[in-house]
Amino acid sequence: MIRPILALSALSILAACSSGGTSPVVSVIKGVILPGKTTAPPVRNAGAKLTREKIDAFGLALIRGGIEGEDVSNLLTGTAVNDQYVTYVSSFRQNITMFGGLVTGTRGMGGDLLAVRAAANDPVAHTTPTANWPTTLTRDYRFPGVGPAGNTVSVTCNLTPAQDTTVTIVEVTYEVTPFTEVCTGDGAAFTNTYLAQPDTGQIWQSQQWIGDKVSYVNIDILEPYTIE
Amino acid sequence: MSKHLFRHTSAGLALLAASTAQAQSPSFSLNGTAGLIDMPTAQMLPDGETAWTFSNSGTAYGGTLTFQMLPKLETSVHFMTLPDWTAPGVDVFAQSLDLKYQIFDETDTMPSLAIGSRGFLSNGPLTSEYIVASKNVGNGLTVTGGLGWGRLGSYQPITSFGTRPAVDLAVNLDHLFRGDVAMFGGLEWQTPVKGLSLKAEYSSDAYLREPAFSAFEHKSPLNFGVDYEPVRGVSIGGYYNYGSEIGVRLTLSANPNRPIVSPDFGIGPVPVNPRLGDYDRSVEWTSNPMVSELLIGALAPVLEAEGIVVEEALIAGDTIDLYITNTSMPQTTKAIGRIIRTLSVALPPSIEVFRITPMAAGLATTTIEVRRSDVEAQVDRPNAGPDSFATTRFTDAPNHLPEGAWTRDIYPDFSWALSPIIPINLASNGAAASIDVLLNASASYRLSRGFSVNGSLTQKLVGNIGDGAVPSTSATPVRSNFALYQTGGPTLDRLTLDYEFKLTPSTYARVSGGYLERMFAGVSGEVLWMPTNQNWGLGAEVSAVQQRGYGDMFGFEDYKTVTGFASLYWDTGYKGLEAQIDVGRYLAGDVGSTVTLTRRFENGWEVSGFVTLTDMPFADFGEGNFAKGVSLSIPLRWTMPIETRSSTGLSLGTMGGDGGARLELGDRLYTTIRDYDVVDFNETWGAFWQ
Repeated sequence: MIRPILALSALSILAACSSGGTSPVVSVIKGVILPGKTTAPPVRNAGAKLTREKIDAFGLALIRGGIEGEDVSNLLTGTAVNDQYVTYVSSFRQNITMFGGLVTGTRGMGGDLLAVRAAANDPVAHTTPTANWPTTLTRDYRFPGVGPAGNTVSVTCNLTPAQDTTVTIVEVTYEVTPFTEVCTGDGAAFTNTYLAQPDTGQIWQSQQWIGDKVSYVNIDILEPYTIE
Repeated sequence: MSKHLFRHTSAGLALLAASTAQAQSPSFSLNGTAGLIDMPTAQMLPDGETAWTFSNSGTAYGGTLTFQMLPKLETSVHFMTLPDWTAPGVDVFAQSLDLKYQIFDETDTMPSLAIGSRGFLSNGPLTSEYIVASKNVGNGLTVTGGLGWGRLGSYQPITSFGTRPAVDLAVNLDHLFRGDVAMFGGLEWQTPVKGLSLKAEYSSDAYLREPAFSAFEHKSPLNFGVDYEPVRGVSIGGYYNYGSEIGVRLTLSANPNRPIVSPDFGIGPVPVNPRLGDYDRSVEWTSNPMVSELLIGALAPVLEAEGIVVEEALIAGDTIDLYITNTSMPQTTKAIGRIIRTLSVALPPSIEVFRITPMAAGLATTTIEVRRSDVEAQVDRPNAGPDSFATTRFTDAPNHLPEGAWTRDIYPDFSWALSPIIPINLASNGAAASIDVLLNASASYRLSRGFSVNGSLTQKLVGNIGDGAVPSTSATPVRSNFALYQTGGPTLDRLTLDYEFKLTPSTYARVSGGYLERMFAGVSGEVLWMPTNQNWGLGAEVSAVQQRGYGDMFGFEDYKTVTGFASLYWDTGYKGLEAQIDVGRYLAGDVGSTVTLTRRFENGWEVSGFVTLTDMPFADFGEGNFAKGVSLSIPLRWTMPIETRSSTGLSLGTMGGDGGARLELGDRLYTTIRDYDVVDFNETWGAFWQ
């Protein structure tokens, strides 16, 4: 069963952005079309006093995202799942979509990343114990441009591990292997970093390139999305 | 009296505001193009670069608008004053269209090579042609050498290619690469000081005409200069030319691919979840008008919060039809995508087909039909863009949904706007530059979706355009009495009754009557046939008008005429290039054709240029002997972090020429609906998932 992150939380987003308080759509659909369903509460202002207890009590997939170089980071709640793509949404309705630990889309953060195509051996997308991570991989990044496909940036990346270490994210400490991923291609050159748990390959913290307009986004996985 | 107007609102400020971080790109010449000082180079500006240059070389002064139309094609239009040209104290105003095409790009071993023409369409006083090569030899040093014809072949020519015709302002191409040939060259050193370049050149221009009626002396073919670009987008230059003169230059530049604010910053779209496999597929509930009305009535304000107004709606079976107006998002495809996502979240799962019809100026355009199951299968996937375009259907929309559809009840609807307009008269037959600051108030009273009353009133706040205006001696002064209309105000620019409608799903029509523009009143009708799946369209326009009074805003002069055109519109689909050919009868009764070429960028930037040739004798035509002009439109979204469809514009052209003059009717039908055909949706489809 999918965790309750999908429980009509999109409707709460509709309510948040509509003028004049509660969206009438929510009321109508709740009352007429989908009686008995409830909406999940949006997460607001949780960053300042965020504790592990609150994360556990919240019970939804949760990440913390921020643009590299900016002091502010936001909590984003898992809101939609399509195939293995999970979309996290902030209270300002900025979106980050992830495939495993790989950021494959951003919206509203400036310079949208439309989509990413990951190779079958990409351990960032397909969770893989770190001992089995390849040293090279390829990836396609898609950005807005002329035509339905937009602009595609195809890169080849070299992954290099470093000495195992630990990272603490909101009171929980993980044993991790740091990886540096140097990617080049189609005029782009960037370096991603990942802190991955050696036995499972779960990436708990990362800094990932999302295009030349914004450069990097920092991601902390506070509560990973899982299928129970 | 002819007036050459630099008419803008705040586009100049937008260019100035475009100043961002420093980066290296080819520097500008006094000519306003990529070049040395007076001489060209083979370098190209970045694709789409648009630059406005003010310069005074010591022998000429004025403005240039340069546009890198394609990666290898540089275009520029000059509006220059040549002092003391035909007699002491008598200046000449010279317009010219310059083209430069880069044949080869620079490689590690080979220089770049370009061919160019200054004053392409006529053999005017500044006309020349050249072939030039440039090579960066390292350490910031670029070497340039070339051969010139015309003015650029006048100093110590080395050979001759036939006989060059005498200077003649008539349109012709006989002069191209004819006559004496001379060599030119130069060096540019980009110093270690950020943005600072030093230049030296050997000029092949002998400046033969300049000394005739002035104190100018051509003492040396060597020119020297310093360029400084403190921030990207602002460049200044100082020069010592001809061994006798000081020259200065200011260039403001911007690029649609270099936005001032980060694009796509703001509220993201609604995430889409797939429907569960066992969802209720029954659609009986849609036959209950109350449920449909309740649902649409609830949906409309949600979309309105995103700047999308639902005008008409109908739910029938498994299909929802929405006629919408996008009031905020620059790209319609983005608005369509946002609607589709919202419908996926908000509508019962039994609704499978989403049909969205965007409207423009009250006209229903193209119906975009998307299947919900396709959306669910494509969203977030790597190939979502191409896949979604392939599965979307585009059809010509009827102007209204069938009877019984939900209709937004807002008419009559009143809207108004206030905006400043700052026309600048750069020069006019030796007259000093003049400027006005005007306040324009416009209002629209919409009686129904297609029927409206529109008005526009202008009040001069301060300025001197039109001071000392005298009546034109032209036999058909349709525009040459332009200055007599500059009464200070308030002036009624427009008061019309307009009706826009569709004859068939692919044929648009407009009828207007009243005070059509500041100089003419009458009736005007237009028809445009433009099926959405076709990249070209045909239009026809006929107007019967009478010239309005100069001082009395409601009065009339005696001149009456019938003017009309047949038009061909072609969206090439190549780098946003659109072409338009109009053939017909102009206001002065002259018959001819206008060719317009426009490049539109996906972010809303638009640069266009036109040339008009008619059968009016050159002696009567007005300055330049043919009409030409350029215009630039910059979307405010490019400069501000908000969703808006507003833009700021700038246009340069011949105001006051009687030949090739057309009615100024505002947006014609093609301009209104051109964003809504399949070619445009294809070009902007990348925004569908944004």
